[in-house]
Amino acid sequence: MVDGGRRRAALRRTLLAAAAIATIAILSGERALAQGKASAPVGGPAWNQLSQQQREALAPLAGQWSTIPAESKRKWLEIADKYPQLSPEGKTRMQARMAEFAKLTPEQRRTARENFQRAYELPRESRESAVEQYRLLPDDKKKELTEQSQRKDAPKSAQKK
Amino acid sequence: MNQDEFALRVRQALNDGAERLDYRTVLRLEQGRSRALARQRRAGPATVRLPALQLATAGASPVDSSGGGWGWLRGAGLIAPLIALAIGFVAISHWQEELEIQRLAALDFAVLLDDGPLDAYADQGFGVLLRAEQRAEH
Repeated sequence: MVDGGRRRAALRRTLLAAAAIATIAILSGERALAQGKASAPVGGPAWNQLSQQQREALAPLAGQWSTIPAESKRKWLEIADKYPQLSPEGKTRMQARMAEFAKLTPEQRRTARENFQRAYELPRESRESAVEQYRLLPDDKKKELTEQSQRKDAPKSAQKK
Repeated sequence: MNQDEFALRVRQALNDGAERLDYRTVLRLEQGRSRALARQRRAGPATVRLPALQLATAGASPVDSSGGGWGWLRGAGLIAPLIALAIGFVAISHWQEELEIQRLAALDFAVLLDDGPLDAYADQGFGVLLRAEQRAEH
């Protein structure tokens, strides 16, 4: 009887310990990857440790490579692996936008991904229409729209917290 | 000499021998006996518990789970499965991280190749225009 009780208590403690370990492991896996938190550790391979082909693909990032967090570096190296498959025109376009993209804040990068996906859910005409509307907007109106979006998102982010 | 008589003689001889022991020897024997009894009292009743689930340690001596903070774990024979579980969780976590990196890389690759304006994509205000277009579509 007593041994059975002890065994059950030991099993409960074991399950609790396992749950604690699982929580720690999962939380560590959820590290600010998608969010690209500014606090993410800088590390990963140094610029001179990259292969010739990787350096060529990521040339626009050479100056800021040492400041890029380790996980973002891994993402850029994935992109560098795909780079040789591009046409000369594609390579030029990608490199022209690469430095600009890397300079965005993590929040802006997240917005860019969301807007890109949303844009491609629309038919081509609607997408081009939205781009044209945006292009013609004066700066103060753009700012107004941004503020409007932030006001709209504020309750959502408060709920998330 | 029959058997009973022989036994009697032996007993007498032993008793005579004991009585003739030197007093120092008797004293040492008495002290040794006292020490042995005291040690036995300190040790208390010996507890030997066999683990419910004994894995890699099969064939090893049974584990006394009475001592140490982790004795209950050893007693339950669960250290090995627990370590395996922890390693499994860490591996899954790394695998998820790798998948997320690949997802982001594929998405960023598409954004970089696109001819849409990057400053518009990065602006939440542009998202308002896209949502308006989505509503118009529906």
